[in-house]
Amino acid sequence: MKKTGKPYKDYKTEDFLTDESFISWVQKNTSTTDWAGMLDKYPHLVPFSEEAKNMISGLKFEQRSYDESRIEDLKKRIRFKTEEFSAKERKGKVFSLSKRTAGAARNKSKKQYWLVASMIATFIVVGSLLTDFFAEKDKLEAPSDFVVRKTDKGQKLTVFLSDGTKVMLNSNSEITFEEKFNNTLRMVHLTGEAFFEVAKDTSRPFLVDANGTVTQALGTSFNIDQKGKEVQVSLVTGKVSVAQKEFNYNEILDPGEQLIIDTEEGLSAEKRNFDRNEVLAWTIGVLFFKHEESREIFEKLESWYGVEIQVEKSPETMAGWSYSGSFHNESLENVLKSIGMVKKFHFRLEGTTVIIF
Amino acid sequence: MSILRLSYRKEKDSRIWSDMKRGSKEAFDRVFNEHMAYLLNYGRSFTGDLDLLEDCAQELFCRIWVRRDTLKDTDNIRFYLMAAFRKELFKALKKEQKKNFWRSWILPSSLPGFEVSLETAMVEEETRLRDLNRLKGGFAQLSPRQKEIIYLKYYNQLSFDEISEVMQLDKKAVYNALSKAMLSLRKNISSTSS
Repeated sequence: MKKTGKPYKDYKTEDFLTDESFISWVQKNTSTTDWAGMLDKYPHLVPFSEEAKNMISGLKFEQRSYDESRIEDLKKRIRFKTEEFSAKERKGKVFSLSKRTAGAARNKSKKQYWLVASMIATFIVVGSLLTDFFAEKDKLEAPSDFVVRKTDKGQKLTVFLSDGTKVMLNSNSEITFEEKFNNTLRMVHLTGEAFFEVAKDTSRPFLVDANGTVTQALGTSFNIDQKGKEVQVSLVTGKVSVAQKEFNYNEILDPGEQLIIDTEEGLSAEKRNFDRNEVLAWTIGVLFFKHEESREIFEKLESWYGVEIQVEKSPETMAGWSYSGSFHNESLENVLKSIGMVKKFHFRLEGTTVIIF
Repeated sequence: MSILRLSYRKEKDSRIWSDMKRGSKEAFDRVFNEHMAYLLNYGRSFTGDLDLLEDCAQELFCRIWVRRDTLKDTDNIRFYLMAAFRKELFKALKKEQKKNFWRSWILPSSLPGFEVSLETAMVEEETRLRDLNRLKGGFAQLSPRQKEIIYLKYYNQLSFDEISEVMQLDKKAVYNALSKAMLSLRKNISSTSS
């Protein structure tokens, strides 16, 4: 904004300082006025413009650093809330009510119209008082709403949710849920692998979101294994529906069926039967391999025992074999000894590092 | 070049915003990833209560998502969010104040004020260092309102129109307050130097 009528040639420092176009020229080098040309034309203004420039560039504000992890937590909470809302939207619960009242009101006669109008007015007044009251309450409860449970490599954890659902969390995994579930939905976010035994509650569906793949259940037990963009859902009992929101994909599983969804490049989904002993082995402390390549085996061992594995043997001799076997509560050394005997490698332990040679 | 960059920013903002309005979760994530830290830092100048700040931010973003299809268009997301966040925050701070009615009855309290300071200068050249220190001193003496206007104008690079909308002030009042503030800053530098 330019002071009304003041010509540039009469500009003083404070005029430059408050001229929007000048500020933008100093800060962003963009302006609607040709300031360089103007200063060439009126060189007597240069000291003023220089002073203004110096002041503007001196106005740097102290940055109070905001705790990154707090911001991350906040983002998680917002993601969670909006997911929950989107899930309700898909169920059609949110808007159906208002549509129905609008349709009903149209059919009333004039007399009835006034009656309805006054009723609605009362309803709105009372309703807004109530929603205000509940909004207030909701807000006060908000900070303690969410719980995050996490396991490191080599750790496992069993968590009980407020509805009685039991969740076993495999190593290197994370689960986020509401401390006390609300009345419409039971929603859980998962990264990594977990086995769910869902408490029966037909009024509130149980949803697990694993990187965009949402599994919905009423009262069932199932295993979810999420690695990056690949999510594996294996149903043990009951019934679940699995949805991939991005691709608008939906599939229903029966007991014994497993669905593998991969969104790495487009959507690929495969349904097949699974071996219960294989998928659920981890929940009873059994390390299970079925025709697995060296890379997969070492990744599993790293996560299971919380170690880092370095392979010093030439890649050619390590590639091209696969191994099957299972170990029940066995030490890392025994496991490596058994596999190494068959697949011809040696190993040594250095702290939490394993070297294969 | 820079005019191009500016129009690019505007184009990008309006595209992201309209994608979000159409229900793109990715665009929504982008909005809060890009602006959250800014908003919280802005809010921090009004209150040290981080829980309250984060509640307000959560409230704001959830509402944006829930009402996404009724939001008006914008080509400056930062400005849009700052205006909405400030409103949300003031509402919450007033509520907070009501809750602490008895305390505020005994201890005089006012509406939330804006508190920031300029960064401590780190330059070699002596006269420049002296000027910057005087600028910092002068800035500390300004009113909260003047500080906020300067912060929005010179740091967030909002226009006078946008500032008057964010602060709910008449555009003329914004301009006058800024003009007075800059005059007093200038005096502070030159009077002590002569």
